[in-house]
Amino acid sequence: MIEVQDLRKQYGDLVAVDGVSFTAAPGCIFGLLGPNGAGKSTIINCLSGLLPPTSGRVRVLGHDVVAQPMEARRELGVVPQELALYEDLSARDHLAYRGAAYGMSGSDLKTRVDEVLGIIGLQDRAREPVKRFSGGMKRRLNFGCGIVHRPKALLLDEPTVGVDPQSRVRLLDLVREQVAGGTCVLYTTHYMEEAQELCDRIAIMDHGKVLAIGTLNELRAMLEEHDLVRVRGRFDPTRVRQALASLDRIDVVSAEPDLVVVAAQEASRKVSAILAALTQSGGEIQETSLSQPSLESLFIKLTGRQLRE
Amino acid sequence: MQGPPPFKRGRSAERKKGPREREAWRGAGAPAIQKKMRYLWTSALKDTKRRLADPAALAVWIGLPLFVGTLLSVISSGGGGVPKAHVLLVDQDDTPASRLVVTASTSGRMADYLIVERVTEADGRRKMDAGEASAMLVLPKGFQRAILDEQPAELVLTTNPSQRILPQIVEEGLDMLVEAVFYAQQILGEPLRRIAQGPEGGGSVFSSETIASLSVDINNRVARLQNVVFPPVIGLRTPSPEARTPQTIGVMATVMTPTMLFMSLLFIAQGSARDIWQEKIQGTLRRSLAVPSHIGWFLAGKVLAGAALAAVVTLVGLVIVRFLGVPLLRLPGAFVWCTFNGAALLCLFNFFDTLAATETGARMLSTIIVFPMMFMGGSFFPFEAMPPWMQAIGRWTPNGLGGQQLKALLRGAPDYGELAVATLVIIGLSAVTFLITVRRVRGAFATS
Ligand SMILES: Nc1ncnc2c1ncn2[C@@H]1O[C@H](COP(=O)(O)OP(=O)(O)OP(=O)(O)O)[C@@H](O)[C@H]1O
Ligand SMILES: [Mg+2]
Repeated sequence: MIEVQDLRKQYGDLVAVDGVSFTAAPGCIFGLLGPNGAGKSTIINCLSGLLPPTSGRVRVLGHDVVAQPMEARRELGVVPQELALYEDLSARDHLAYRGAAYGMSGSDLKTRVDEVLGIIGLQDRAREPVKRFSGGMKRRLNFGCGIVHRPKALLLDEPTVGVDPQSRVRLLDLVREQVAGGTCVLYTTHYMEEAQELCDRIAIMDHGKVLAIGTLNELRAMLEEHDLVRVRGRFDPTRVRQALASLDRIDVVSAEPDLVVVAAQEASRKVSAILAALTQSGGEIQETSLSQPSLESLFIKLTGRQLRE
Repeated sequence: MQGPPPFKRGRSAERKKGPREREAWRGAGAPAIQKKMRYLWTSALKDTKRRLADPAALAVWIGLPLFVGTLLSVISSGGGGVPKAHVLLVDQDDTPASRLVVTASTSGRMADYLIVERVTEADGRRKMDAGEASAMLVLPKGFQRAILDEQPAELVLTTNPSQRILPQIVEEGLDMLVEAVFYAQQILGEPLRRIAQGPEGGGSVFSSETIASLSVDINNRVARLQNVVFPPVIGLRTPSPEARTPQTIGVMATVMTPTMLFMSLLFIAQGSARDIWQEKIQGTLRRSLAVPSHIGWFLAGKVLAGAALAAVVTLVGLVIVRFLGVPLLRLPGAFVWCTFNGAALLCLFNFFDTLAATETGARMLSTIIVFPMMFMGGSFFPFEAMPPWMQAIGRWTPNGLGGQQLKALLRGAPDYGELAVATLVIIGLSAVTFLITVRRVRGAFATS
């Protein structure tokens, strides 16, 4: 169990995390979804004891990270966002060293190292120095280093950044396997699809604040089943807003010179009316798309901008 | 290596680590401390493995003393291109015997490292005062008489205090020469006296009997001397402002090699300290801060790995020293001392490296520090070749303190009081720098 209560972290004047609270339960994957600079890594670093929180409480399996750091760390596995590997050491060296750091030794450590090498699929390359590994292999080893000591809580900070789709699927499977064993996972990402596919509960973050929190279904409900109609072209934002205001039960999410986004229930039935209104307002339509409710639509609704900008 | 010192809690607001962390560092029970020691050991092992993967750096560090050692052995066997000592020779006796010394010192092996100039005493004093020569040797009046009468004779060698290596070479060379003259005296003293007295009865020709008996006499003397060593009758006196320990082993072994060894230790420390930055940049330092063992163990592992490297380089240096004639018994102490100093210097440079805000900054800072330390602390030019004011400062640099004691250990004449003071100062300095480094690494350094 990972508990974060009213966490606040400031770097000088910059508030990186601003009053964040959530609880991640055992056997579940809790997702932190947010764009670059949202404060995801800062939360992870506060949990792993690397950064002292400015205020608020963070607990891992009941141990306060500030007051009982060693107890908390013992239960915690960390997979940092940047690869944290020694180029000259082998995969086996890495796993054995990380295990020893958590007090493992002897045959227990050896068996576990072999086991983890199997899990991350690096048995064949176990004795090669890491500098000869591909990016995906390094990512898998980076993950392996975080689970050698069988942690009950696992912090994964964007573990799939920069890996090909195949390795990504593999890594996500690894995460699911861990959870099946009862581990509590905190997973940060800025890929919606990943959060949607993997996480049981999700917190959507921006600028250090949690904007929405819940299961995927709960979050969808917040959108009131709104679909999104996205129209590209050339528009006059003011006239677009005036024209669309006359239509019933639609929400203008954004109106910009090159993009208009509209949210509406059962939008497929309203597309023609929307397009007509846009044309009347003097706009020029180039491309239209309709999307079902998703985290992205929710994010856009919450922040007025796209997640990857 | 000194034992792990206890850690104090930081005072700044950022450092709010609870008392439990201290407990974990100290280890609550025996199994806990065992785990910590294992972590320390595996940390050192992983750093050593990483070092071994970079043989180029290793080669430089180990190769340096080897290279210098080779160079020095070339010097001591009289190879070309070697700096020669300028010796002023005052022959007040001007007899065949004194001329023999003059000739001996200007020919053969002696000529390889001496430039001998015959001068009058007054002239010689003036040149010495002007610092134009390394040494002045005076063959006193009555030198031949003394030899013939088997009386003690004394050659006076004055050395130039501002030049210390070259005069020492002169001293050692002349020691050999004086010994040779002594043996000549032992062999030929009596027959020479008889020859000098002239034929019995005042004639101008020796009788065949006399020549025969002289030959037999000489032969006997040679036979007698073969297995016996007499105390030398001719002494070489070196008036010197400070009393010096008897110099039996070469200057290469007790001055040059230790100097170069400390140069290596400095470079090893400076180079190894860069590793903290590498760990920071590649993210492994942050990862090590998230484990349930105090970061102090991780850093102590680095110091241990550095000490192991220092030990290997020391071993190479000491093999050379042994080869140059230092007795085996003096080497274990020297080995422990150098390894200890290697670890201490690494603590110091880890401290310097974590002071800087960027890796480039750290590189610049440690370079700015290492060279003056090397020059002032007698790890490039030995103290013996430095002006006194520089020696006075340099002796209190960490490498100066260590290097001086190493020389004393190799000469077999350590002053245990001085050694104890040096040990305490070095331990204190290492402990303080290590603790500050740990605090920095736990705080701003790792997360900035
Ligand atoms: N050491 C630091 N000093 C000052 N500001 C920092 C520091 N680390 C992070 N920040 C700032 O804190 C904010 C949150 O950063 P953080 O790394 O937590 O974001 P993130 O959500 O992990 O982003 P990304 O998806 O890019 O990894 C950013 O504005 C960042 O610039
Ligand atoms: Mg991040």
